[in-house]
Amino acid sequence: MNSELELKPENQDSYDKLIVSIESGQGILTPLIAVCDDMRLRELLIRRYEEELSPDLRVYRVRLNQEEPSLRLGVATLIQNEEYLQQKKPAVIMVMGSETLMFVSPKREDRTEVDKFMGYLQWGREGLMRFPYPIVLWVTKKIELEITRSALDFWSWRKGVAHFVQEFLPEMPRENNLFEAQSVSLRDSEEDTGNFLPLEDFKELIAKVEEKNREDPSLGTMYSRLGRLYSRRLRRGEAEDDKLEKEEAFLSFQKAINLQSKNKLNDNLTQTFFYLGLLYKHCSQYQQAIEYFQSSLELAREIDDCQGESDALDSLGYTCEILGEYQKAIDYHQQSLIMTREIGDRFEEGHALYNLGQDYYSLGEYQESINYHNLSLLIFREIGYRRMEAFAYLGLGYSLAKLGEKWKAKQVFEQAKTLFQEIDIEHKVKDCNQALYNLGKMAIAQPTFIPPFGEELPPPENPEEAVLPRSHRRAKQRRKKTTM
Amino acid sequence: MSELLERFRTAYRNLQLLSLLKKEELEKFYVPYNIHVIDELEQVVEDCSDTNNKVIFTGHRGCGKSTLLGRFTERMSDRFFVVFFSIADLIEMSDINHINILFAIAVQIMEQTEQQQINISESTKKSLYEWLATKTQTQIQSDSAGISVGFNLIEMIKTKLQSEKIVRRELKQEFERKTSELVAKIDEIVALIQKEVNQEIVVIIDDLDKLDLQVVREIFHDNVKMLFKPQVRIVFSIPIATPREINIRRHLETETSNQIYVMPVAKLYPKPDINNREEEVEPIRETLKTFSDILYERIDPELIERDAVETIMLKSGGVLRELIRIASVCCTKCLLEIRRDKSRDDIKINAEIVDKALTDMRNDFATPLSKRHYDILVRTYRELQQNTKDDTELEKFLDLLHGLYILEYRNADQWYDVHPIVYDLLERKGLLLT
Repeated sequence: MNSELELKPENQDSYDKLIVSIESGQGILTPLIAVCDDMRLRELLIRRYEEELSPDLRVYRVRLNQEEPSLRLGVATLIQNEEYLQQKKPAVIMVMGSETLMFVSPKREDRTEVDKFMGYLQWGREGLMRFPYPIVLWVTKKIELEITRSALDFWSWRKGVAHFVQEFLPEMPRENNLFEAQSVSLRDSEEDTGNFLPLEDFKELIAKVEEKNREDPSLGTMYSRLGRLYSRRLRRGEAEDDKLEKEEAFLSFQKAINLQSKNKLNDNLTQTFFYLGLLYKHCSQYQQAIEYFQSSLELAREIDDCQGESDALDSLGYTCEILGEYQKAIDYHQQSLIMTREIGDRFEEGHALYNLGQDYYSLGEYQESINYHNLSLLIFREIGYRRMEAFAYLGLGYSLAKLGEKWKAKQVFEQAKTLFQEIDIEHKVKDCNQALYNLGKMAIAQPTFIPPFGEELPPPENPEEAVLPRSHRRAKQRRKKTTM
Repeated sequence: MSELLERFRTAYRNLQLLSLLKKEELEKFYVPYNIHVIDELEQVVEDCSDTNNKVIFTGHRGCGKSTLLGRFTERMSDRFFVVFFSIADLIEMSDINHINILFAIAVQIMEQTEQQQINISESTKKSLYEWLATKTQTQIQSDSAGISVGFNLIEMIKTKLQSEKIVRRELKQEFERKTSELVAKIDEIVALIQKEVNQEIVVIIDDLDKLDLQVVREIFHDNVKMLFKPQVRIVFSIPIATPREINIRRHLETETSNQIYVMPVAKLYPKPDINNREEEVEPIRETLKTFSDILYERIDPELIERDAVETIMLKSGGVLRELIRIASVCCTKCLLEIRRDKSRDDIKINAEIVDKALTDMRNDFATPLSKRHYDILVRTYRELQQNTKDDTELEKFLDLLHGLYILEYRNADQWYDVHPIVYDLLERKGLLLT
């Protein structure tokens, strides 16, 4: 932890505001709200408070019970166990844990953990009045917003709110590396599910059309589709000769672009650019892929093709993610999210949210990742798309595990596993088992935790592989390819 | 520690945002306020008849309702057997319904009886306690019958109600179809106690106004008849937004024979002229006097400049808790300055400090607002009335009222206006330009 870090002026302001409130609020109930999305910054701040306030004043930390997230209950339990507090000596109570409350409920009950928390807050005045301490409730922006909407009474007797904005913190040593490898799945839309004629028949058809009229306007589309067919064969490993078919694929796309540009068929051209981008991506030529996705994006915007725009943004996001440019990936996925909301496409919106969850995970911002996975989960649940619901649970689980929320992660992984079993995706069930096994390994360091099932599973076959993030793994494969 | 720091810390502590319910707090800080409301309530409760004895009490969040009800309880106690309780203390919010409110009334009357050591026959008492205990699945110690068990048992029953969902659920299931039995039991208890103490009972239920509007609808629209059945005077506090919904209002008016009392927000200005909203108007001196008395009870006059007091009062919109909040934020700002320069002894709440405090509060207000909200706010400012186009807008309007963005003022006339800090927000956003 770097306690030398100089805070941004606005953060220093909030820090000071909170400390004078803590010092002045001794002897009476002083409910304070601290808003901070970055858990590392939060930890740094709390340590600073501890340093500065001791020994005159003790800083206590308490975590909300996740199933019954009652502020009163949390504080009462703490006081019950602390003689110092019972004697009403100078102290402050920092309450954590609201950031991992779920916005959806795993058992499909009506009330989520967040709902419960809000209910307790709203209803808690009488109970809290017995505690003559400053109580700092640490929340994320999202929870703060929820409080201003759903716990108006608590909001109205808050004694102060301190906002902390993002700081650029130096990379901290990882607490555990067990969950690096496990980022999830490719998007369905990148799998070309178009319906094509068998290759030979299709080539014959094109030849006949060309023979009749070399200027036939439908030829552009045909070549584009031929390019897609070759791409799919390559991707699925169906090509008889990889090198040859790759050349054919590029050639077909090129012909399509020439014809479509000439005939000003912009809507078709948007698609051709997009699929050519995908082909480059498949061939690990990421810069070219990005160029074509961008061309597709520009064109789509020109002709108001929302779907095309959203697809291009998505793929740009993925490609940036592969290149380790997470911030750019987030930008693209954010734009894509806006698009899907404009079109009103819940399915795509869910995907965009899920992607953002993944991006933030890669960036190491696990809290943000949890937020987005939670949101995507809500949508997939709503539209009943179990496959992605399972993926969202899995993603959520990894982020929770990263934050050390073992118990909750375990629940979520089990939820994901059940779903994957139901829809019969065997390799993902394995991933879930692996994750549960890894959770068990985390538990060894902390003996209070009862190891989950899955203990008998073997460790990953290639441990080095398992600790590399997906993007690094790809990069490694890429290097292998280029050295061949 | 510097003397100035200590004085500001004391002020910070005194500027609590909670209602004044404890005796020592009342003695320290209470300033007579809205006395006529207590008078009116007293009159109504005294004049209640057997068939018409339910009173609805409502008002904005933080305008002093709970403190007033506490005072009211005190005032009535010599003539009535007053049972004043907070429902929040008894039942978890998610589970509030008309059944457990009724049950809570029974429990609270028994507790009050126990506290005041009212003499009722052992056998009657035993039978009543057994009834309460069975319904809440509370074990009665078999060896300890009689008076000594009473108080502890009530505590145990309350704990059960508060912490065990299953108890609350079964209570509801059991009495849902035979609520009249529950009501009969309450009537029995009421009659018994009234006979014993020779006073009429008044039940005052506070904190029902913290419920979600949806829950309030279920209770006060769908089940109000049952809730109002017991033969006893009851004062209910409900959220301000509820009587603004026309069908609930009609319902409540009929059921209470028009006994709906609104604790008004203090008027700082007379009703504005709708055609000339920017006109400079003289504030009402009487309100300012009360408000400055309230502030000076809590903050040393040497720590705050006169002009600052004036601004704080005018920005409160007439809501007591907002008045205290602005002053409290100002105090925090001064404490910050002291922290930064310990040698300074000239720090005071002045115009600059108030300005900084108001900026913070404006930002807090802006947090949950959407464009739709802004539209409604602007319209309310321009028209001084509720003008909602459809149900979604009505819902949003009620939320804004619930959240103190929109305030309701009344005298002979009744009107709505936006909170002064919200007005600043709208102005800064350029939404008030015509």
